[in-house]
Amino acid sequence: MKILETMKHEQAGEEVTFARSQSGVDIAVCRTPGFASASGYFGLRFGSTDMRFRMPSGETIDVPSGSAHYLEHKLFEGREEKVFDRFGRLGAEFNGGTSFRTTNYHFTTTDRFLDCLEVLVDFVQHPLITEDRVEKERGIIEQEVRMYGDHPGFHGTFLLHEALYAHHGIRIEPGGSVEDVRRISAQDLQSCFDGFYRPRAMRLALAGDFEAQPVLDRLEELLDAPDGPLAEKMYPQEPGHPAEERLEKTFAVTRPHVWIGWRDPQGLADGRARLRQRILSSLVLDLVFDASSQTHERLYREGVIDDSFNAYWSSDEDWGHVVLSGVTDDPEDFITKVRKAAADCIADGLREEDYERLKRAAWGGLVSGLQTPSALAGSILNSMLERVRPFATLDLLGDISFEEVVERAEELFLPKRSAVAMLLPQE
Amino acid sequence: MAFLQTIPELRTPAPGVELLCLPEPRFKRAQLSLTFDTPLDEGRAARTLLSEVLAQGSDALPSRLKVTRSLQDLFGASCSLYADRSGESHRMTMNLSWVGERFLPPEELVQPRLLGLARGLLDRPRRGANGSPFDVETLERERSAALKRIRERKDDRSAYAEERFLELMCHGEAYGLLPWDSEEAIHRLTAHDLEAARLHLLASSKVTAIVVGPCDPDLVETWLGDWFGHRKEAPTLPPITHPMPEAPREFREELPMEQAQFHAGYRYELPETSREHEALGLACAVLGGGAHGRLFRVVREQKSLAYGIYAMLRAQKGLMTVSAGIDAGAFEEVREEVAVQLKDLQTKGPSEEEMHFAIINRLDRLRGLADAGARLANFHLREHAAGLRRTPAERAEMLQKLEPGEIAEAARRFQADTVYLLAPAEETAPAVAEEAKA
Repeated sequence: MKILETMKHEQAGEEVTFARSQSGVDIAVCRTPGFASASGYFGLRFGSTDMRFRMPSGETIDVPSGSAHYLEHKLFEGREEKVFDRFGRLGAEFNGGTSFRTTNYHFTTTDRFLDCLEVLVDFVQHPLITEDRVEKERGIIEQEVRMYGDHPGFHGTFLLHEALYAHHGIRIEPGGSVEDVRRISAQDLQSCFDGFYRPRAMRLALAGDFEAQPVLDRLEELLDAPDGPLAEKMYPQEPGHPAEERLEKTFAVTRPHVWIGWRDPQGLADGRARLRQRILSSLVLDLVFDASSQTHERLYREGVIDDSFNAYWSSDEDWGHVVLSGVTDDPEDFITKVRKAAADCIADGLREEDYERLKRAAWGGLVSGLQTPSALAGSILNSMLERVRPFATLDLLGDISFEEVVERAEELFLPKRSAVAMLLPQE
Repeated sequence: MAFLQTIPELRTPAPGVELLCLPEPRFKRAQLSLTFDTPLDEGRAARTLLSEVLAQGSDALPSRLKVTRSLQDLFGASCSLYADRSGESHRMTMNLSWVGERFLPPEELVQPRLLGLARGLLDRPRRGANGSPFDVETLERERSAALKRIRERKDDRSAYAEERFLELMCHGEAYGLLPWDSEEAIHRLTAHDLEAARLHLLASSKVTAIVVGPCDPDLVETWLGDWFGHRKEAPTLPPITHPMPEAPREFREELPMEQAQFHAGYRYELPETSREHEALGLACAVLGGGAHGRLFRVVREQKSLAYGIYAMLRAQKGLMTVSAGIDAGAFEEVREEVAVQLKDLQTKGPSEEEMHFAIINRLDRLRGLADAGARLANFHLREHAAGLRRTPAERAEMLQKLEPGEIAEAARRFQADTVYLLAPAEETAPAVAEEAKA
């Protein structure tokens, strides 16, 4: 396989080699001299929100929620032998993950890297999905879904998604509802696989102390031949404003748990623009609500928030929202004061020296955060699936101006785009 | 790999203070863990609340805001402080991390500045008005927050089930004590109690530090020497107790919940040789050490009764525990299956394949330690605490010499003590069945 490009990232202290197989799989290799372990991450942009799609034949397919996650489980069943046994025999650690928009499969090993890579590429490309096999996995997946059922944080987050969005797939957790898990069929999973698990959609990121070229040559033999077009994803039309101002639910919690969200009218399709927006939004959240901010300090001293308080930004092609959450004795007071604090902080003006300090801290975390081959390969795969260059966050962080942050702050906390979710204690 | 054959250099900068050094320039971030061990005595409530109050600032940085800003100025360095139970000791831990020098602009002295900040939090806390050892408002706020956390711990059903299981299994032993003592004990504390706890901690705790990564160990040694050099003698901690079970016990508790939490606990007499230690670890791995473990294969893969089921050794105390999230209706079946599989391992030993899987997986984890500073630090801290001080390479060598008969023999050491289930009341509808309402 021909190497297309080698990128040296001075700040991250890493070098990444890019190649593409004849079948269209994009591959990135990061050499990590002196490290004992090596990792492979194989993934694609197909996730839990991809529940309706048009096959190349023109047929429209609807699958139940949780299908992408169920398929991930079934791939680990292997064709002739369980993937657990194949990796187990090689001594490798392995796992997979399904998010709203992506699925990935990965291993880490200190020995027999090529053998592990062969297992990874083989089981993801060549599943055997039968009704018997799907039925056998149902109880396990049901237990996994129920495992999250006792987490207030998990429930509240999805309740907020229900308030923010009317039809969007992120209203449902990636594992799906127990009811949907019970009705997923082998045909549903086969349709998902046939529609999206095509070489041209797959991305592979590798990291370890090995030469790229021999590994790439071996991969050319392992990867499937080119094949037909992908299915076309179909998403419901989503209004540009929250579906509900407020949703409440009783739950097994001691005190009320509150989530406040502010959503953008839509997401950003371009990966680099989306990453830039993510950095800008995160910087605004840190400037307003990080423990280093006057707002946080004041709310903490007044007892409005405590250590359970959290703030983050979430986005993809067709969604983007801020979430602030916390546990409180007085939810109405929490909502009123947190919303007012955000508005006041923006109105009073952000301070450039705070912004510079936060950037410095973020830079330190980014350059030293990706240490192990596993962390590197995982991060590089994410970049590929987000359609940005590896370590692009570092590049963009250096490129963003204070004025852009101020501009982003002014549009982030608009009252008409806000919704609230609450979990209230049962009697 | 030579790094795995290296034992951390042990230095003693002051009486009762030990420093393990593993400088490693490959890593991008340095990590320093500093632990203060004391008996799990009546003072533990004060030390628990103290850790929360100290984190709120020092005389030089008199608020959390100022501490956080200082850490951000140090290129995102981190400093956390918390108290917990460790074995049968009460432990306050301070974890520091900072970016390696090779990434920083020249002349940026992050490590010494971070060490100064960290010492200030413990050594020169923010004082209160009118001679109070601590700011009253801060103390009351942190007391209130601590009490709320204690009351809310049931909200995390999985962690609460584990806490209750250990509390019931080790009732009457220090291992079964809660690190914060009780709500009442937290209520009673005064600022003077916290100050007494702080002075006791600095003067009389057993201090262990480990520094890993791109760091200057000499600087850490000097820092600890300056700080604790006045100590007169090394403190001693009471030995960990190892009672054996009299008869198996079973407990069931109820809370509104979606998935039941199953725990089974076994005790074993601590082995005398390093080889026996390794055999115990391997026996546990064969039984439930991950996806290759027997319980995972039978309970999850064959019977679909759980998403995950795992066994672990609590080596200091001599406990082997099994845990799983299950459907409450499957309790008897899971409990029986765990007993059957352990019995089978005790009598027949592992199969050739199980032995191979368990060894090769443990070898991989041992070799992988070379890449992860935090895991490596934990490995050496555990070895140091057990008085074994083996390298990953030595353990790997020992592992490969073990025979199946030794695994069966090790498994026979596990004596059933307690089975615990936290489950929804049978007539109670699951909490999540509540409908969302606008």
